Amino acid sequence: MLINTVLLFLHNALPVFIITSLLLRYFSVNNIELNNRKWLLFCVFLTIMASFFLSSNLESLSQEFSGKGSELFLSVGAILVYLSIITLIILSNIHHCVAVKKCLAFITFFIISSINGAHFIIYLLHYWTQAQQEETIVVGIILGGGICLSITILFYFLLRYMDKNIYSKISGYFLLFFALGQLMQAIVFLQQVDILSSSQPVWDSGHLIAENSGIGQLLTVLFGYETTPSLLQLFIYTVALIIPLVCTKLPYILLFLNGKKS
Amino acid sequence: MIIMSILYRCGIIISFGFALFFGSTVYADGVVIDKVYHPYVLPNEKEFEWRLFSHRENDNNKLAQRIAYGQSVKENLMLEFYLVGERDIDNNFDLVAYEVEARWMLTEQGEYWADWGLLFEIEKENKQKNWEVTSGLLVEKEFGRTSLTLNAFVIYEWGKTLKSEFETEFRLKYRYRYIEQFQPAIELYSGENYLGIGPAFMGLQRFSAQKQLKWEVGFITGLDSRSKGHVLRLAIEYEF
Repeated sequence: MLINTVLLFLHNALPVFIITSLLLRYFSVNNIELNNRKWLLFCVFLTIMASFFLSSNLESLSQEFSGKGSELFLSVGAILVYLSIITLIILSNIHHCVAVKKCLAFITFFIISSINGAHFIIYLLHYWTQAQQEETIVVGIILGGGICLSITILFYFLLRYMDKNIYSKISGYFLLFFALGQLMQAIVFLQQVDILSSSQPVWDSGHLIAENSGIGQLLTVLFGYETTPSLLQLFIYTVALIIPLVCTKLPYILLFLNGKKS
Repeated sequence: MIIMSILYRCGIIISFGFALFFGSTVYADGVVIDKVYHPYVLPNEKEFEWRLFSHRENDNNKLAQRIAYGQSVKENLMLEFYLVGERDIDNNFDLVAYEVEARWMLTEQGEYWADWGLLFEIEKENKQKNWEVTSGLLVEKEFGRTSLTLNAFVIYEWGKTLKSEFETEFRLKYRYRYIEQFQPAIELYSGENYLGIGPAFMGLQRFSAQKQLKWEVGFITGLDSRSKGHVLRLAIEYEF
């Protein structure tokens, strides 16, 4: 029971902790200070409330749109996260717009945390009613929280090390890959309800790294790892990667083209 | 004297290399995940320790606990006595083994390039009448605010239900000393047909004099196809 609760915590809470590290790193690289504690606490409180609200309404939501409600809702959430993050990445070259950057970061954190939080609450309540072992679940949550916090701190300092010693914008690229991971989730949801066609997988890397293994889950969160990607997924992944990269390099491209003309 | 010192160090490096080499080639029959030992002993140190391991493979959960009492008998030598309990398939919890362990601090902390220690352990399984003798090398090296701890063990086991054989195990912990109470780490365990890695954290709270409470938690995931499943390990230690 103890290890099941820790696994549940890791499965649902890991994206929240990873995005927290990535956003903190983004703020640090872009010299944005997070000194308004009341505002931060308010954001966290709002996210917790939204998680509880969503957990109690996810079932009725799934009945909407001919039974496609929850998939549509989750895919829209994931697409919004992708759009917020790529806007953050494009804006990272612009030194003002601090309020806009903070707002986009909050939207990203809010959507990821409330969706994952709602799933966590649903599974936890299910466990709770089944197991009737309150103290084991509480200990499991504390241990799982500690493990996730440990990953967050290590990941943050790994990103800081890489930013300083390898390439100054490497954490930005991690943020972009995280956004791509969210977009891949959205495509899977849309394929599940037949809005997007699901064709034959291009390859199967399940024998190398299974998606439900610990490493597989981490790769899914960090890079949108998929064991059996379809051609459509690969195409969208590539386009969604190239567009923000071109946008960030647009001033240099324009400068280069103008220079060539003159 | 200098030659002796060089020979001594070469011996340590060779034995460490030997254990590392065989760590990936020889496998055994027990639990690989335990604890990454630090090569330190405090004079007049006494401690109580409780360790818990929860192993999940498919839908099967296994549980083991260890209770220990330890005392330093010299300023660089510590003896520890363990009682090992396990939960069987019928959910009955029973004493399965007992164990004596000696930890010997070879060098003072910061005296050389790295801190060195040795570990010797004898374990007897209660019902099966199996024996296990372990000897190993403990190394810790600090890099700024991070610490790398390595354990390499050579184990010989024999008994009624065990084939007499040598095995080796290798453990690694890379720790970031964020604050004393919370030090995140990555742990790796290898040996015994197992390769696992995972996040962990440890911390300690100091009280008056030598009294301190230490805690360690690790969540280790099997890396390859031979070592499926997850292990949650928890250790709480009170030193006085």
